[in-house]
Amino acid sequence: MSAAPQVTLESSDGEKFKVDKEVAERSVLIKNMIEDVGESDNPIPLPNVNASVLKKVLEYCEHHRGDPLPAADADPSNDDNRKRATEISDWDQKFIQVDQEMLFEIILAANYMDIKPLLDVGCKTVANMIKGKTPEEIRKLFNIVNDFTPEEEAQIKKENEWAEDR
Amino acid sequence: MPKASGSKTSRKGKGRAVKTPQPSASPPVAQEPPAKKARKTASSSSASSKGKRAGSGKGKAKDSQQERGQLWNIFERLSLDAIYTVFSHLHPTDLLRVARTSRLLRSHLMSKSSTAVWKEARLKAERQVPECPLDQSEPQWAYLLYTRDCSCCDKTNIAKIDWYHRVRLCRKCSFSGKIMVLRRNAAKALPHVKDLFAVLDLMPYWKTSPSHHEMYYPINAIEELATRYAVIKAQGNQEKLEEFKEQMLTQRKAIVESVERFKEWEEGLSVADANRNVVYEKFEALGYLPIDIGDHLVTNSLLRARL
Repeated sequence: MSAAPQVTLESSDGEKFKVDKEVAERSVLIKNMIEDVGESDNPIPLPNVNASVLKKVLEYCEHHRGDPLPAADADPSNDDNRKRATEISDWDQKFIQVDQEMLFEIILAANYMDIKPLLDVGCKTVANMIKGKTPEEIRKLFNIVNDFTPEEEAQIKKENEWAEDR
Repeated sequence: MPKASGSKTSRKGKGRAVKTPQPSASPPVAQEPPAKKARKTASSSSASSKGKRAGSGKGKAKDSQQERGQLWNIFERLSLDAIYTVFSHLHPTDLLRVARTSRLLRSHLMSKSSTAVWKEARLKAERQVPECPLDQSEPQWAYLLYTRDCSCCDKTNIAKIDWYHRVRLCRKCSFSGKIMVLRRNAAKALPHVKDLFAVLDLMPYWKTSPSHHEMYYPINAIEELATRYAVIKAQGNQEKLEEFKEQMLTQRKAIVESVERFKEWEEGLSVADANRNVVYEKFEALGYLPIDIGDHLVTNSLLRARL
């Protein structure tokens, strides 16, 4: 019996990864590429993802290879869905325990490779980092430059009208 | 700043790798880096010029600033969709704080197109709160409900909401006579306002208690409405003036009705809180720790809530 079909992915720094097609196709980007180009032995280039990040992303795809794809029409007003949306599974939680730089890289890669559940896990983790922090702490955490004057800062604290549409 | 040290070198390497421009697929990712680079240098150069004057003591601060400079601001590189995904997992209080961090993030969150994000945050929050009334923006509503700041000064931990005027005021601001004015003092306090009582009759007022006869009005709202009133009156068209009055009275009615709803909700909340406390105390008496009981039982009332 022949093995499952495989594809080769190539990271930005030229490293090649041979994985099961099913695993690679957790990425909608790759799935579409394979559909467009047809199966071939040529490696699929991912110029936006380096080897260490790709390795990590593929680890995620491998673990979740059999998962049902997320339903696009999940009703967010449903309580169950809402609750599920804020929870991260144990495995995912361990998986995403990486330094901040890697976390950001994973999010960008998931965004680029179009792996929605992974993007969600990353975004939830970033959200969890923000929770309960002051604006200054959030700035420090994400290297956000404070471009408000002290006067503006005092003012915007209490002013919360919608901004004029420009 | 967690995880500040240790991963310095890896950060450098990876940061560079990702900046590789990339042709299509995800334009925000490809386009952001140059802008960010410019900002990064700007901030680190200002840090070093500050550092020079202060001597050796500042050396450390400069280092950490530079180190921080290598960490990039993810919000400048993420697609809008992904940013909104992050936002959608936050509590309204967190959204308010994020909206105060920078112009970029503020412009995202204070745009009417973010209504859904705020709504989602409100619905996901631990407590069901009333729908945002039409006269408020979602962020204003979140600020009123979830932060306990006085609307006019730096005092915090203000329990009472003046639902009529959608503000929280500390005692001092409530009764100083500079922000709120009593109807019977209004003529003296606002001699420059023409048709004062005609204007007051169009406005909702707040009473310290239902049985109390003293009616309070916010001064800035009086002045604003009086100006509008005067402009329309000056046009000399009685019909138009009546129409304006009618419109204001309809608005007042809507506000008064909404206040009844909010007060009802507030009462329900304190009952729920009392029940929750009883359950919580029972669990505690049985020897459970707060961590066993779980967050959902820990009283975290909006009216006493997280800042």
